[in-house]
Amino acid sequence: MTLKGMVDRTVARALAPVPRVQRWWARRAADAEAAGPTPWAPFGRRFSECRAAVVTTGGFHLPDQPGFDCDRGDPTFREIPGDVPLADLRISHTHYDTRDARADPNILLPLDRLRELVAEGALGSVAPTHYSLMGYIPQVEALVGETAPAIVRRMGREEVDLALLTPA
Amino acid sequence: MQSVGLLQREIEAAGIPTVSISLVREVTERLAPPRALYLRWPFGHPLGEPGNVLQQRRVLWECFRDLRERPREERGRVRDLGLRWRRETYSPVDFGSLDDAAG
Repeated sequence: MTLKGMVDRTVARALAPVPRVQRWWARRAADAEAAGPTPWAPFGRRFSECRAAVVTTGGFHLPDQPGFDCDRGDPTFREIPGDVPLADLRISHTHYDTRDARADPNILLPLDRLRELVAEGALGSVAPTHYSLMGYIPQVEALVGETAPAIVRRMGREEVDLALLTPA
Repeated sequence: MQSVGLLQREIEAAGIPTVSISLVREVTERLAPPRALYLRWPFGHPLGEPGNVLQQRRVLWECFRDLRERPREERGRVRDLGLRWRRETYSPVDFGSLDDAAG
């Protein structure tokens, strides 16, 4: 880990018990650009017939996938198989306190919970692929112009019916 | 927060219904993604505490309910779930009722 990475991680851990300061910090970091009209895709299906996918910015990746570039920010994503044992996942993300996420990845990437719902008949299926990024992404153009279309294409191929997105 | 909102808008625009958790209300409001649920919880904990299965299921249930019930006119509005951090008791939730409501 670089010096900046160590500083970021230390700050993230120091701020963890102080949500108000965390939010102030995040507001400062956010882009004030206007967002435009909100898109809308109506949801009219039964959950028991739906395939669900998760997109998280928790910084998860498989051991054999490259980690994220936490210093410069990183607009790339990692594909997480829907049947992965969560204990196999790694996290490379220095901008939040990852200790709880390592203890139980379901708090960001709830694949165990979704599998339970499938077993109970409440959800049709868990998508073959889920999507992990790290949340510090100053490269907005690459995120919207490259990463998002790649995720959308893959979701389309895998016939995903609904997507859940979780921030770190 | 910003990355989630941007991605959510793109996925929804492609025709896939989406729902997200927000941990910083002001940032999410600025991006106005179609369906966002706000929790005043610490960063890195959108579904709650490690190992708290009932809590995680409750948050998922709230997400599903929002997908089921939110009307188009309320797109882009951030809904506050009002759940307090570590001061709630969670009961089992009934996912089947969400499909019953669909008829």
